Amino acid sequence: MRLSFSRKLKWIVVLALLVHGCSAIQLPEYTIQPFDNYESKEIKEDLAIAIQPFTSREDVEKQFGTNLLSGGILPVFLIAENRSSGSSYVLSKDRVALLPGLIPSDRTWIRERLKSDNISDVLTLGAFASLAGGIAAPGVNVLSLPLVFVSNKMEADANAIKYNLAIKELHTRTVSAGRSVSGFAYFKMPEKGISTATWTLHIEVLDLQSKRFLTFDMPFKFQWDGQ
Amino acid sequence: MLKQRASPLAWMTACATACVFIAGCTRTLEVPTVSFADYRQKEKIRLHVELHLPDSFRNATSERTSGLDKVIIPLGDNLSVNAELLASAVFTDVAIVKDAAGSVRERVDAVLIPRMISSQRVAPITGYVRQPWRIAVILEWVLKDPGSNLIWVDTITAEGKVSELSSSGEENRKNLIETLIQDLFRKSYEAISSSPEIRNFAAERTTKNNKD
Repeated sequence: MRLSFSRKLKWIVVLALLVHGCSAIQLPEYTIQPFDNYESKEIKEDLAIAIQPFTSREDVEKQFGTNLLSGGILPVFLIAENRSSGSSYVLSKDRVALLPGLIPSDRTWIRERLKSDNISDVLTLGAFASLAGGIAAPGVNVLSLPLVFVSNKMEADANAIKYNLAIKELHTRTVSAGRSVSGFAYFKMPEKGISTATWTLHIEVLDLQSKRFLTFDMPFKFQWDGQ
Repeated sequence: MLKQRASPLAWMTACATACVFIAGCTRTLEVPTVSFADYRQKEKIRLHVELHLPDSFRNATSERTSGLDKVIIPLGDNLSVNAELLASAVFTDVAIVKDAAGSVRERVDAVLIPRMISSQRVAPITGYVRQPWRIAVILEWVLKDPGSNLIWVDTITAEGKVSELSSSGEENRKNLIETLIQDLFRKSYEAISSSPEIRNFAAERTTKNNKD
């Protein structure tokens, strides 16, 4: 039996899709840079904090395997270095907020907002479920058989993306003297664009000895046009 | 025109199929309880610690949804058994408290509370998508004094992985849990035993107890 050219082509497409469906997406580990390489950094007392907001689509896709920005998520990498010889600090994602514009000197309202359990600017992992499951379908779903494999591949990729987000996330950690901690915080952006080109990451770090908070306000440039 | 009526059996089959599609299927996988105690022993911290293991921790699970299916791996037993072993390897005196209220008893120096924050899994969806079977657990440890003042807190992210799947599902699950528990409790031991905050607190407590 001889196959026509169009049939051969269809089988090649089918085989290509099958092979493509044989492995899930591979996502890179984030490489922590030397502290001074970060553009946005601040030092208070003996605690140094640097941030790297992932504001470009290319960087986000490379690190997370999908364009989180199009889903209204802004990932920001944070690193805290304790340069003291005896102090200890607690860094927690629950005390990090992303705010439009520059923050006025009176920060009382932010503190009140951070204390509230109901309002958190940082996303919890559960919120990613719909996002990671909604990765755009590749435009090859015209043949029904390969669609099964494409679908499997998409689901495998979505799981790998969620997994990757989870293991990179910043949680509550003690920053002991001479040590550093780091991780990503994921922020839910407003659906509509905001006219400001400057955003501020507000971070409150607990000094374990004195029980007072050190505040860091770290502005960065980012134009958010909405989803 | 001839009308053909569906038999009751056909109706029941159709309903059962529809129910499965609508409700999906929840499966709970059985996993063995693995004990890990192979710690590179450092000097024990001289503290009388209460280890609180609330219901939420003892019943912790890892859930993964694939399409309409939900697959659950129970983790509570493994976490509880190994939290006890870990606490006994780090501190000189350990009392286990399993009731939720968990009142702090007399002569307790500190309370250690583990909490599983979340768990994620990656598994091959079908035989056509090959990837290692991986599980991640994010576990928070909090140490407080009897007055509930924070002494130390840390969050451990650990992974279990099976790269070469064998034909036995039971063996695969055992390997997955073993690698997870080893990574989780080795990292937890390192974090707790090397914490200067806990060692300093223990030194202060010893001095205070000696004076009393």
